[in-house]
Amino acid sequence: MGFSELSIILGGPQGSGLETSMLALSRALAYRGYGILADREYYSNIVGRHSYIHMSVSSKRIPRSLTYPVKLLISMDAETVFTHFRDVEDGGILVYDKDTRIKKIAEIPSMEDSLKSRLIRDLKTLGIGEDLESITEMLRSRGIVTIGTSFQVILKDLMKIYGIDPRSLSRYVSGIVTSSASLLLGLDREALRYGFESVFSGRPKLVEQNMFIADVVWRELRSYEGLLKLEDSEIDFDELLVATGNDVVAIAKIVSGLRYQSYYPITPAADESFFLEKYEVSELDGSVIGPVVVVQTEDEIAAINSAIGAALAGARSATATSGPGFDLMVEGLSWAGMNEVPVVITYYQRGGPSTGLPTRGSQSDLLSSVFAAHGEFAKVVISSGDHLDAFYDTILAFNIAEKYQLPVIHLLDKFLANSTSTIPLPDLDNVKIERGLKPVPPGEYKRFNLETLVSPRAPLGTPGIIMWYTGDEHDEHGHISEDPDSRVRMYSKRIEKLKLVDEEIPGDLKLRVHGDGGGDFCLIGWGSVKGAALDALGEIVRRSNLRGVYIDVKMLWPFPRRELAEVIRRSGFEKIIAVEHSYGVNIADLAAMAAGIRIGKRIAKFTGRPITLGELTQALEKVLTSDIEYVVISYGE
Amino acid sequence: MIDEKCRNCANYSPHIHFPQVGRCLVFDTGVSESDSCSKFRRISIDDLLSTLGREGSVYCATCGTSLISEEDLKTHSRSHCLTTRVVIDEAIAEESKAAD
Repeated sequence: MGFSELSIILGGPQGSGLETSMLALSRALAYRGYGILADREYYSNIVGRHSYIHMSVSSKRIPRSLTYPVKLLISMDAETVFTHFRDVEDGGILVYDKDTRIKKIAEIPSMEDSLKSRLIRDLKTLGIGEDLESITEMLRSRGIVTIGTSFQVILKDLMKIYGIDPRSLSRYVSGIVTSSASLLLGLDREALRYGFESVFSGRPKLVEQNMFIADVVWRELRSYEGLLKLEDSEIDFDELLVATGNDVVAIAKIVSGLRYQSYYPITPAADESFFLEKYEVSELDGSVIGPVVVVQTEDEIAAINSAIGAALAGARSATATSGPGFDLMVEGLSWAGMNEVPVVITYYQRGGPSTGLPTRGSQSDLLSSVFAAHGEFAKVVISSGDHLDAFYDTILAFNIAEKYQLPVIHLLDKFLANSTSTIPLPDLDNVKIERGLKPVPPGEYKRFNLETLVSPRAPLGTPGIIMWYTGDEHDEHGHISEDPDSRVRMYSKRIEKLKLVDEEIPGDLKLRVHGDGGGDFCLIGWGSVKGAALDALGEIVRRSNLRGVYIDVKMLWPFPRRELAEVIRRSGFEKIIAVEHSYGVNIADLAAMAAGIRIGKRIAKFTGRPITLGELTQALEKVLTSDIEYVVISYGE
Repeated sequence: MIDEKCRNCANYSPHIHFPQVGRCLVFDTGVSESDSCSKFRRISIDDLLSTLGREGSVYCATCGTSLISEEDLKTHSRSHCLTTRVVIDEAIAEESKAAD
């Protein structure tokens, strides 16, 4: 017997090897067939501040949500214990560096004063000292196994035997963390080696040195071996991806035939472009795929405008950004709308306004993306609920952009961008690339031909074809025109393409209903809340015997008003609840405006931390069993 | 009485994240803070002031921060572990997510 599902936190100073620990452990777990979902939380100060990985592991399925309390907390430093000791389940395990046991909360310079005060106050109330030793003692009294190991001794041995340069120590501290976790979870040496080999690909010495650490750690902690042993995996994996949301979107862009990507570095979007840069030129069976031209521009204004230029030249073209960058792109977006340019903006939301919480998540840019830009024109906004959805939706974004010749915003967020998951390989046989290229009719070419809503599109440079582009209102050729009759026809043409999108895109791509259809309630949301929402449906049935469905709104604009109204009418839900990472839970207002549907109850989270299963379940119970209409949830440091 | 361990030696440069281990500037090798040797030389306020004057900063391993004023140096030196140098980890760039 073992555990089928459990949660883990790995924590330490940002830049100290946590990323490597997470990657190596994820790959080792995936090697043995376990499903994982790992969220990475970090400060915008980048180096030195507290950072942690919150991971769900399962032997039965790919985890969809993060949960508290955790079964295992592994800390690289005292700050991690201070920050997360309350998150550890009774009967759980803490692994810590015993050389830091005399540290006091007040001595942690990187911890925010407000958190220090809260902790000191809480500990005082409980009559517990402010030092690490007192906290571990208290944890032991709760049945938590505390395992102190000396990082100093392990690293000293390593330096002595291998002559390690202290400048590369973080590569080895990560080995202590990964090895401890592997031992406790019952992973074998082969899986652990695979994890290290995947992370230190092409650097065999690092693999050997980390395996040396594993031997030391396993020897020292052998009495705890398999204390959290996972059951053998039942997940049917042949091949899988272990990737972040950023990675998945980048891979999908390459699959979709992307030829140009522009960006200006911004969290949490930049990693997608870095991935594309790495694989700008890929080969398959001797043939070059792409290449994708990736350009880091001087700002986001240049990013959107160069992407527009590439699209006009006939390339599949995209840019990736976050809120502050998107704000700068809005004038370009309007130009793309005026000139019917098929460009994709991959928009990773983070906490705003302004620079806000640069490295934390949010869904508060829903209305900003739907209503961005001056004037009226057709643009499409789609969202993705998880990594696999994001793969298919990335391709869909290009297909819609080119088929209807309009800008498409693919609205994602930091939670998806920076979380790593085990993902089944996408079904490429059912992936269609629809470029929407219509043959250019012989004779005089009119770029904005009014005979159809979507005009024949010739790339710039097509021999014998001349076209004009301008930000001003124009005639069918693209020449500036302020003629009222032309204005009415041209303005309407651009906007009415939305009707085509609305009519032609299958309902399943606009919204998806999850759940068994039980009619007690209906939870509505979009984007990365999907995982927690789906798991919460199950929890609510178990706890309160209330049955509900989750409506995942995938196409945010044009809003699927008919489809949503139909689902709600058919099911006769008495209680509709919206959930979102924002203060306003703005999907409720969008549904009211676009579909006339009143959503009476809202669950909001805007701390920048992900919505976790327990808090969402509790909030749902609260709104379902009382008259309370608005609940704010806020768990997590 | 200050013990003659690396942590109190003028030649000890702690790691930025794990100050219990670091580099010995004399032997140019990795050491731990609890090591000791015949080359021990107690770090003095003069060492620190001299480094501050010459290089513009000293390092407080307790706070994990650089000190750039004499006033800060004197305040921290009362109870913190100050060093003239710090070991910056070369993997920081690989380990840190892009953030801006």
